[in-house]
Amino acid sequence: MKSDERHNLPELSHLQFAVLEVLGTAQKSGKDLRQGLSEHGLKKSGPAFYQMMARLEEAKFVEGWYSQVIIDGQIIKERQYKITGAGIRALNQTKQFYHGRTRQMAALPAFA
Amino acid sequence: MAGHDKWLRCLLLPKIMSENTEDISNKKLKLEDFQYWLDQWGNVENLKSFGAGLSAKDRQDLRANLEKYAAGFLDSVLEARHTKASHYVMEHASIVHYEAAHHEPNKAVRTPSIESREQRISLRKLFRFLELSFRLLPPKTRKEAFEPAYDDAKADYLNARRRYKTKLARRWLAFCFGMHVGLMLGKSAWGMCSEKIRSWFLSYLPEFFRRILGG
Repeated sequence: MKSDERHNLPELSHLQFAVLEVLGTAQKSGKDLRQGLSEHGLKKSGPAFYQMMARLEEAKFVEGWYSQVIIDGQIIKERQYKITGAGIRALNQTKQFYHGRTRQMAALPAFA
Repeated sequence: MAGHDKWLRCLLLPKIMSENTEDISNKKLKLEDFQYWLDQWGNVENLKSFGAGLSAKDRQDLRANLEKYAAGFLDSVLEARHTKASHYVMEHASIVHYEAAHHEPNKAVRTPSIESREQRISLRKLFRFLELSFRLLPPKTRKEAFEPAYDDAKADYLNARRRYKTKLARRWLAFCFGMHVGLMLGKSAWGMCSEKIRSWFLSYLPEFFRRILGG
């Protein structure tokens, strides 16, 4: 692989890509996001999911904060997430990368 | 009044001492003097003789200072009471809203939903025990991975608790919630281990457990 191609590799893993895709531009709670991912067949345990979200936050692809809800008289914290500008850029870059590769493959004689 | 006076001494005196050091040194007032004036001021009987022995201006300043701090103190007490009251209202509003939303027409309402004090205490004890148990994890893992997952599980548990109100059902729910949190704790600890430790640990386990743990 050439060095310039290596630089163009997407910044996101397939799981991170799926999370950002499900999140979209809306603000979603961690619970809703997990549910959205499981609808796409990506099932992760709670701690594993939130660890992955923490990595995305560290990379500044998403912004996370706590909101408070009251259930049955108990105050519960709920993690909320929103995509950042860097996250949108990374998502678009990943999409372009895979589109480009698909087009290249389609041009090959075996796929024509 | 006696309680008020005690609070004044405990809470306000250090503030007065720290904020008005210059004034105190100028007026040559000592800590004991302030204590004395506070005692005098706190006692309605002695208000007439308040500040006796000081010049009129000093007396006025001292009184203004004390009143200012006392007003701040009263404000904080009122604010605390207001917060407590609003929490109480929110708490009960959430219960009433839930009952209203889930009430089916033509069906009798069984609603001992506002719980007894004992029930609330036992619920708090359960949460406290679980919250103490996950202190086993390192702070970073706890904060990033475990706590949000625990909050989600807690919300699920509380929602389920609203539906099932019998003693037995609630005990079962508490048991399930405890088990769920225990499993999450195990998963967090497992996720925290490095690959080498995991493979070393898995090598000692039978095939069945190795498959479960994803080895």
